[in-house]
Amino acid sequence: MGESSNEPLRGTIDLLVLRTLSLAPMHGWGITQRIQQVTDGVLEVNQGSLYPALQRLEQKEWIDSEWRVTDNNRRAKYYRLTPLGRKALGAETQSWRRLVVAVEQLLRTT
Amino acid sequence: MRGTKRIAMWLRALLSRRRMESELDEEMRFHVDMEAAKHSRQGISSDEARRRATLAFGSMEHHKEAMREGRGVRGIERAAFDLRFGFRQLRKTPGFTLAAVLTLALGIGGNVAVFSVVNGVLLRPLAYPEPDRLVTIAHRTRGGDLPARLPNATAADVVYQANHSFEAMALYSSWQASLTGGDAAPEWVDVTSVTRSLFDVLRVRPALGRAFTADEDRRGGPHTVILSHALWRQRFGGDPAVIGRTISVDGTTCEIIGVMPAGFVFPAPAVSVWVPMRIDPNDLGGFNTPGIGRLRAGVTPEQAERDLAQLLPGITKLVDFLTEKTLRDAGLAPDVHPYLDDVVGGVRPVLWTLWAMVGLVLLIACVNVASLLLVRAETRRREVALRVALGAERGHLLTQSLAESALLLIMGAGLGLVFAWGAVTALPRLAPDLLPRLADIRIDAAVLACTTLVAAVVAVAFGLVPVAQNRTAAPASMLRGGDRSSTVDRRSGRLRQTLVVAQVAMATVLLVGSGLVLRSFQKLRSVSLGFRPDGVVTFRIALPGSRYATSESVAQFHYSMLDRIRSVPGVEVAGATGELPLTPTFSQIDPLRMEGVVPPPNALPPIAEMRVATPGYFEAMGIPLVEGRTLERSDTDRQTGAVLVTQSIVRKVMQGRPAIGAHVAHGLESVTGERPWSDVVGVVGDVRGLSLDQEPMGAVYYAMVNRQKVNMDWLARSMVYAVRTKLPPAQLIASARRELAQLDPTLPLAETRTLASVVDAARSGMRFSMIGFAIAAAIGLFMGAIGLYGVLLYVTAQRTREIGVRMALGATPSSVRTSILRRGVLVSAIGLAAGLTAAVSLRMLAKPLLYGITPTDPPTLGAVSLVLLCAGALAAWLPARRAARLDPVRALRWD
Repeated sequence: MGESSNEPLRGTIDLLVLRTLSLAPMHGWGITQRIQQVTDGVLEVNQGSLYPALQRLEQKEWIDSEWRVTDNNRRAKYYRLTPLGRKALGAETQSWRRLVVAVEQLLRTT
Repeated sequence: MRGTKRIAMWLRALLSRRRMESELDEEMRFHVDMEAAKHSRQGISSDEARRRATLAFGSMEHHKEAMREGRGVRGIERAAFDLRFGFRQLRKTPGFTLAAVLTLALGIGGNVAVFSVVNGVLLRPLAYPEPDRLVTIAHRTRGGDLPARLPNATAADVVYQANHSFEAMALYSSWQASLTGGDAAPEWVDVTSVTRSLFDVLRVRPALGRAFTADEDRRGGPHTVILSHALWRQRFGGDPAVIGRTISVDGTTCEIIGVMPAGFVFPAPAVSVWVPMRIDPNDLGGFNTPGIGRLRAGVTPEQAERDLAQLLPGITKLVDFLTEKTLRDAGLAPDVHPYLDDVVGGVRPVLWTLWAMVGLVLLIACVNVASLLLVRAETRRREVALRVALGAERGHLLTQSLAESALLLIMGAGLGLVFAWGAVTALPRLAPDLLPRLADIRIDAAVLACTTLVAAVVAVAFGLVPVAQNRTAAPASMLRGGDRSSTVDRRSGRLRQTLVVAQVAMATVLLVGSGLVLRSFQKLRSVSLGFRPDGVVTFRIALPGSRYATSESVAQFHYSMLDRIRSVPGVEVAGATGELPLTPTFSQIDPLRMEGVVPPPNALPPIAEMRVATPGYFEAMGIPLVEGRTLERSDTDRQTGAVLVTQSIVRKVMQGRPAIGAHVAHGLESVTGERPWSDVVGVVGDVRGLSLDQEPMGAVYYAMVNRQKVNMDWLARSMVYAVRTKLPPAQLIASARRELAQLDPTLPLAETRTLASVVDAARSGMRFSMIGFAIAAAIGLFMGAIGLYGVLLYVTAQRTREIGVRMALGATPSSVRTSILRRGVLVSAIGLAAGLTAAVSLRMLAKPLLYGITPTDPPTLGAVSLVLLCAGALAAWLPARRAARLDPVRALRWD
């Protein structure tokens, strides 16, 4: 299990998952594909952190899950954003933006 | 997340664990499948696609573990798993499991059983309000010759009234009386007379009616009585209208004024009637009265003693044979101690010692289980090494072996509790008279708490073994075949031997303790009673004063009854006395004077028991006549003052003068008024009158009718008959009942028993400690032997290859056997030496339990050493024989 350099920053995975699920309910594999696709392969979410993150978010009741049948007729666990999760996504997004601005400022002044 | 929600989540995680696991599995497989399908779409062969997908996913188990941790109940799940695993492991080795569980159950069960007795008898407070302020008021003297309660009636009622330490003080005195009236038949009951302050001392009021008034508690006042709840239910059917009715106690008609609450006990459970004491301030006789007091809040018994000691000299104004110098010389001083001590009596040291002994048994049990676990760990080293090599965490291996120990402990403690419960519930049936406060002995919250505590101590004691063992597991060398090595791991071998030595030492202490008690019991059995108890049947007949008013009519009745008994075929000889020896209910002890002998000034006078007897009594009891003659029927008149004295009186009081024809009198003139001299007509042997372990005090036997002013009525009115007969006891009692019914149908025949059972009851305390100690010692010895056996067997198995080599090189089977035997005996001998040293240094503890021997009694120590070495040799014999029978060829191939 080599650590991929494309691994997202620790702590941002919740934000990525919430953002991805805000578009449409999706299963775990779909989430990884989606993140990879949207970021042009820059970010790759490792399974070892994805599933624990999903479990964590579910425990916080920011997302919930149900078993559904996919297009090619397989059972899969789909995750969906809850209203609580949507609120949290807003807050997480803002704090991320603040962080980016701050880091940018820091980088610029040196 | 709020707490309740978190708990709900944990519960869900625990309860639907199986579903969550399968969903987790399905979700991850789906992920891999999708990934593989993606690779396939890019034109990679399906096998390769799956390989890549699986590789990319990484260790599925690893991810699953992370998810399981995320549920937050991993600890519980793991514990449950470990317990299941441990249970399977234990089931695989039923012999080991059975041995360990039984050992623990015996150790824990013994402790719990003894603790419930200690708790019920010694620790549980008495059932009165604020019982720790209740104290016995007695007196002590330096020599101890004077009965400790001597001046109580006088002192407590008159001299001690000015004290500052007590809220209230009371006197009481118990005897037995016949109860007639009401609708039921006459019966024989235990009566206690009390000063009316008793109800303030105990702070208990009658449940029905009222307590005694001052008017009722004085000589000449109206006669009243208070009944126990049980007597009220049984004799009056629990009728509340009983207040105001009358009942007759020993022929005196008394008005019933109260009924005590259910469960009220004072001073003994058997007492069912209370009457006022009616002390006459102008006649302060009756010296033998116990006192009880309630201390003021915050006053200690020591302070109360000092307070009373200042008042005590006031007694010299009331009793003229006592001067201040007499008091000082005799060291007479108030003795104030917790009332509980008197209730519990001599059982206290027995129980503490017994508890210490079962504590030792528990230690032995722990050591046994510890060495069993050591051996087990030893045999599992290879398995453990394999698991470590396969990546098992050391910590997890440790928790697994702890879980196994916990399982053993839970089963052992559970079974032990069952043992203890069985013992505690059987105790009142098996041994009703063995212990005081029997009704207070039960398994309750305190006992369960004690069980838990004991189990926790045990857990620490042997739960650490696997920790010590785990440290030594080095996987690589073990897997290379470490246990094929021909020598035993020195360190763990030494640890095991130390454990065995400790076990043997503890078993030695137990054996010495129980051996000493056994020897004491033997000595006590061989004590000369002064009478022959076999073949004597006894019963009591009490005559109400209303119908047998004069001494002559009392004597007449008893003589008629004795004549009737003697005429029953099979009766050899019959007689009667006031109280049998060794029955502690009541004994009259007074100073004894002898004509012509002036006691040295300022010294306390010699004392003697005052007893009444009929002709035939000494012959029936087998009390030897030493000199002169025994009593005859013609002695029963007002002119003849014939008495018998015992040999010790001759020694102590007569100081070498001729006994026959001497003149003696009981009581002091200053106290009893002028009492005429009685003539000594014979000397009989002494009997152990008060208790088995006290030297006879000496007694004077009076005839039922005596000179004027020598009034034996109060003793003669209630007489115990002793009948020497070859008839079965039940048959004799039936005959006696028939005869009594013809003579006076209203009288009960009470206290029917054999003289042998009286003696047995007097030995019961010592028997209790003997049985308890013997059981503890037997278990201890057995466990110690098993421990030694187990270790030697294991060592032999470990050294199989070595032994094989030796035999191949020419060692004979007998030399092999000897070497193992020698080792067993050596270990036993070291343990024995350590145990004897410990026993000798603990000897002071055993002292109060012993009779007639020293705590370093050489025969006991010798016998213990012999038993122990034999047990050690026996335990070594089987492993030695096994080793000697080894076939060298097979032994060398031994794995």
